[in-house]
Amino acid sequence: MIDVQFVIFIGYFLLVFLIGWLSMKWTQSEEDYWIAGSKLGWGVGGATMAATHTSAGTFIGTIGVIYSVGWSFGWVLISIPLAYWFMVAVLAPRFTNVKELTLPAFLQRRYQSRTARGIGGIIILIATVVYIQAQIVAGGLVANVVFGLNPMTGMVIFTVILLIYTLVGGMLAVVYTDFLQMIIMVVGTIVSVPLALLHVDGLSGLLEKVAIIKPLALEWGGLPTVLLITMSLAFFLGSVATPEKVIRLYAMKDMKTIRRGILLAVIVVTGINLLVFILALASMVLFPNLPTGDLAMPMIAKAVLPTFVGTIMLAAITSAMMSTVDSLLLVAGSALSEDIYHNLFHKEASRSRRLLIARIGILIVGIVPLLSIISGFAEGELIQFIVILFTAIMAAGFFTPVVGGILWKRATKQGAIASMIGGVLTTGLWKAFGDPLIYPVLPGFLVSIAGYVLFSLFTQAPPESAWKPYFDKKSTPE
Amino acid sequence: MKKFALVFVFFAVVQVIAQGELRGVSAEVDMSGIAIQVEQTLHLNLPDSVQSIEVKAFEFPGTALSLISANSAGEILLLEELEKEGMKYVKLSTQTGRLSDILFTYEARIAEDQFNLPFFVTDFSAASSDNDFFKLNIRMKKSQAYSLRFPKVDMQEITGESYKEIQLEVPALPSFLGMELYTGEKEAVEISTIVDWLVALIFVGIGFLIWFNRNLLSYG
Repeated sequence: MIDVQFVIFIGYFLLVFLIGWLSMKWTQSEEDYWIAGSKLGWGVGGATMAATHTSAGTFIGTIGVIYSVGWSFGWVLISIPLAYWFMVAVLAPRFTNVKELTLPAFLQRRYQSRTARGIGGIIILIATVVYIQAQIVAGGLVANVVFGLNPMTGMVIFTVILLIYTLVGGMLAVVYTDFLQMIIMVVGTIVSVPLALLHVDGLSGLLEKVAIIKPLALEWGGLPTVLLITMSLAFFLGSVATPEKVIRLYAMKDMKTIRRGILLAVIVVTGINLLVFILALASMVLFPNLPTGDLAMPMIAKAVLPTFVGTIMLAAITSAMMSTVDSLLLVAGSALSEDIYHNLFHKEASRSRRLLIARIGILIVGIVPLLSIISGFAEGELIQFIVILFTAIMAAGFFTPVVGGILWKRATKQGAIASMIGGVLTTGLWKAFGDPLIYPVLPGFLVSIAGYVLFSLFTQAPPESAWKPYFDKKSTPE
Repeated sequence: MKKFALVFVFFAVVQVIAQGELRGVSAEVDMSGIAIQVEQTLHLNLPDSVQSIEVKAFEFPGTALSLISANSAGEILLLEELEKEGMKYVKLSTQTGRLSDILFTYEARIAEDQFNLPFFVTDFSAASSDNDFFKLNIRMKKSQAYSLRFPKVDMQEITGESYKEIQLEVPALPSFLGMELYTGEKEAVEISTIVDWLVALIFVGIGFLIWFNRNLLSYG
């Protein structure tokens, strides 16, 4: 007898590969490969923004954390729509005055420093490895629950599939598969919630049962307040200035498109987060003894939902992971090729050589997390906490030089470099040795601001050519 | 004060939880009689110092639970019942030895054909998510038509002379079994099938909408 779940999964992946192959045919230039030709409309642009944001961190990680600590984690999610507002209102208008292929390229132009660009590339590589690791772990869990595969085998298969279609298609493959994945995520989540609620006598029945079986889950003190606030800060800062989101501003054709696209992303992301919140509570009632909260969503998809809906939901979860990872792989590839290799070592490198280096970078960044997992790094840690660590590294490294670069004319390259290095180092050291009640993003962010301001003020002011393109209102496209 | 008490209980429970784990669960459910008989086995890893544990089960309207016995390694355990609103708590204690695998027998009388049969759960985390972590065997009359609502996993039906057995495996312990028994023929189409087809049609519809508006969506 044919396994229906297997057929649905294979069908989905075949569709994704088809999109990757078509995108390869449509990719004519470097601009097409890195930023989809900079001509995306609001529909696909907003969808790709939402899909990139909504990863395993949402479907598995958020549900996993709420399952483990209760609904107090919901406070952290409020920062997400705030971040999107900040992106549209503050960042995008000036940031997109000059289109670049990568975020570190912006750092080079704004601060007139190849070193700043190179450091940005290195930070991206390090943080990307951490984040992809979380997604691969989630891929292994899904494979374990759905197909009964050993989690490690599932992780390997997941990594291989991902590398194939990212290597082939570039950004065009990424944005069009993002659109497909967003549709699946939205429909899957909307259908899943009422089906799950049917088993627990509706929303009021659910809350009653949660209060009985896990009374602390409905207490707002599930996580210490300081930790909640600092985690929220990590989400906010990371949502604003992480490269894989910011680069999508370049992919959309003008400010009007950006506003509409981000509005769509806010609606989708907020809606999905509210719905997964309910699914998390339902999983507490239906499966109170899971070995890890990260299994909550795969179990709901496998044992609560009808076959097609459950499988599509798992496809949506897999989609969410893949859309995030492929975006990050692309960013990492461009970081290695453009920001490190071409920028620092081989300025005369041809386009084909740079593309080859990028693809090698994608391979390396895709495989290193897998090897890291096999060696036992972050074993037993909830997926969402690995995701937040990535967000913290990116936030501490990029928020200040990116946002500061378009708000403060006096900012210098020394300030930007000090900000990035200080922010990331402090975040890493705090994670390893600091107070666990204060999330590392806070000290990292404070050090990055301090370094940015102090080093800028005590070094020579930048030339007008560095900041003028971003502050000249006449060149702002609409 | 309430929060302090809850936090204290939480940490006290966590201490016990940290000392034990649930290796697996199996349940034999016999629906062939007037009342449903359940034999649930909890496979536990517990340190020698633990001489009592608490299990709990949801109370559903129309399902009345009666505890019969509990034993561990041949020893009959002391049962102490406590009912709070919505939940039945049972404290199982050993007098002579240590607790290992516990066989828990209880009976459920159901008032309606559509019912939820609770399973007893613990506060221990599961040791794994293997496909056969929870094994369920349901015995019923051969002619009985039924529909399994939760957990909705693949199942095997073995038909005997006068009885049939439904076997299924789940990677985690569900808190209840949701079923509907039919006095006549089973419904031709279940709600889950309708939902599946509806969702498939929605995706097809969305696909057409995207195709016919592809340029607008892609390029604005």
